[in-house]
Amino acid sequence: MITTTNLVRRYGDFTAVDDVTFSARPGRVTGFLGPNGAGKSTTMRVLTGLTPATSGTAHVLDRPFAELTNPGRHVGVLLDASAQHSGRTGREVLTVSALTMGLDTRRVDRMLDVVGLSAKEARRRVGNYSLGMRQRLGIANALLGEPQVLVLDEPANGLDPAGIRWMRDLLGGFADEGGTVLLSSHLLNEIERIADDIVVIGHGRIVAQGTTEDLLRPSGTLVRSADDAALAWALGEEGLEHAAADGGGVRVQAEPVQVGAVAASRGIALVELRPADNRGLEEMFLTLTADTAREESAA
Amino acid sequence: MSTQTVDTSRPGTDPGRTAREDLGPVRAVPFTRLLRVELRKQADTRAGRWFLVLIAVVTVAILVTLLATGDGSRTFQDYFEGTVTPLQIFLPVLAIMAATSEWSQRTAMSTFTLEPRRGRVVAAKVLASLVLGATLLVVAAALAALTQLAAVLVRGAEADWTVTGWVVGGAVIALTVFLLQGSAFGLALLNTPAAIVAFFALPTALSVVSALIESWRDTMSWIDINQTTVPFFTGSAPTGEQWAQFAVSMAVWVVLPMAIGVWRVLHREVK
Repeated sequence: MITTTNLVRRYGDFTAVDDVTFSARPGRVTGFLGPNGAGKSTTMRVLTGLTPATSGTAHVLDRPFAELTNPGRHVGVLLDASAQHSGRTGREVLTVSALTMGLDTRRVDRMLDVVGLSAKEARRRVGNYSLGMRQRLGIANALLGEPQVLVLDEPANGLDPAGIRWMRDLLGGFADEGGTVLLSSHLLNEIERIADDIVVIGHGRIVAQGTTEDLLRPSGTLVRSADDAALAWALGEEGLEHAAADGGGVRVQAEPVQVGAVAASRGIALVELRPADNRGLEEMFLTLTADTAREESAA
Repeated sequence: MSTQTVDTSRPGTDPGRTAREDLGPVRAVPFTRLLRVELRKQADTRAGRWFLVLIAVVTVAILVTLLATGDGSRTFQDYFEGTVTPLQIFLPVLAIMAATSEWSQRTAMSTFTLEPRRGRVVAAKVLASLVLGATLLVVAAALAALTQLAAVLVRGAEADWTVTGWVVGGAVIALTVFLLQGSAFGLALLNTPAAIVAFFALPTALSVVSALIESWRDTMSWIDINQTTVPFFTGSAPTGEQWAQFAVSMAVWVVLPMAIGVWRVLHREVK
């Protein structure tokens, strides 16, 4: 369980995290979605005690991270896969963590196996690893202490599509066993494939949160007919809210079956009848991303 | 979510599972474990390992040179003193790297999420440098003894094994101070090149300046750490005034930067 309450982090005049309140529940994979620079990483650093909060609270397993006993045994953290000593071997990175947590080093081999790093790869220095290999090593490091909570910043970065699928299965399995997962991404389609719940952040503020299903649920119906004008009139007569859709057709706030029934009763021939895509989340996200992109090109 | 599909992305044996096993009860991280980990971290990187090799090579080179040159009248104490100089130069760099690499290599992120009480990590790090220094001093002494043995057997040198207490005591004190100074500079600057340059250049620059300005000379004999540590290499006990001068220079070069360094590490945001 992860909970932040009115979390604020300021850097001078700049507010990186602005009144952020959300929770990530056990048994769920919570996706933290936002464009680059939205405040995801800062929030995650505050959560793990690496950055002090300006105000508000961030709790992991009902207490501040710094108060956890042997935190590696409770919370697996991967904030930056590249933040490892380039002169250390992959195996040594895990060994150092295992020794700190007081684990048998056999656990290291087990984790290398879980993330699919071969013995040969584990003997290479991290400086020679690809980003994908570093992510795998970082995930192994996070899972090492058998935590109940995972905090992962952009873990799918650098993974190929098969790797992303592997991660989805891995994190899904972790959540099914009752674990809490918070992972961030700046890619909507990545999050929508992995997460059960989504928290959207932009300019340091939370702009939407809910289950992936709710946020992406189709809303209304898109219908096209031989005579859209007549159909629109008929829909209005039945008291169904509707509007002309971009690219032709009518968007109706009703289930397809109701719309079909109206058309049938008036004898209007349908060309297309389907649930409308939910563009809400995607559009909101595109707006956020466009803002960021503008700021970046202006800078 | 928990599909049992066989994954083809060179995964582990069981991609959908996170290898749950009983790892035993969760206990607090004891300080001795942090100390052991910090010691290991000084030697488990390529840079750290080569640095230790470098110290060994230089030490052996010095001993061999001492053995092969001169009239064969050198004693164990001469060889021992010969090994202290490379330690005095190189050990502080090891202490600096231990303190700075967490930040330059960004491993602080992992270190401080496994032990958020940063003060304990800093203490373990400084102590680990001292333990490593002590170990290397013992090894150096052993190498010096081997050299003396060779001198006796091969060059027919006199078997003089006497060592004055203050030769060893002075070496131990001086090395401890330089190690602590290295740790302090590393922690205060958190940047390897800057800390190494500051460590070697600042005291020397001060010595040069004080040599030029007559009126500073008295003050400098209290502040210049190069001057105040000289008595520890003479083989006899320092005088009361020398101890006092040593203490004052310690405050300037060790205690002050250490205080700044510890404060910085405790408060710095880890990115």
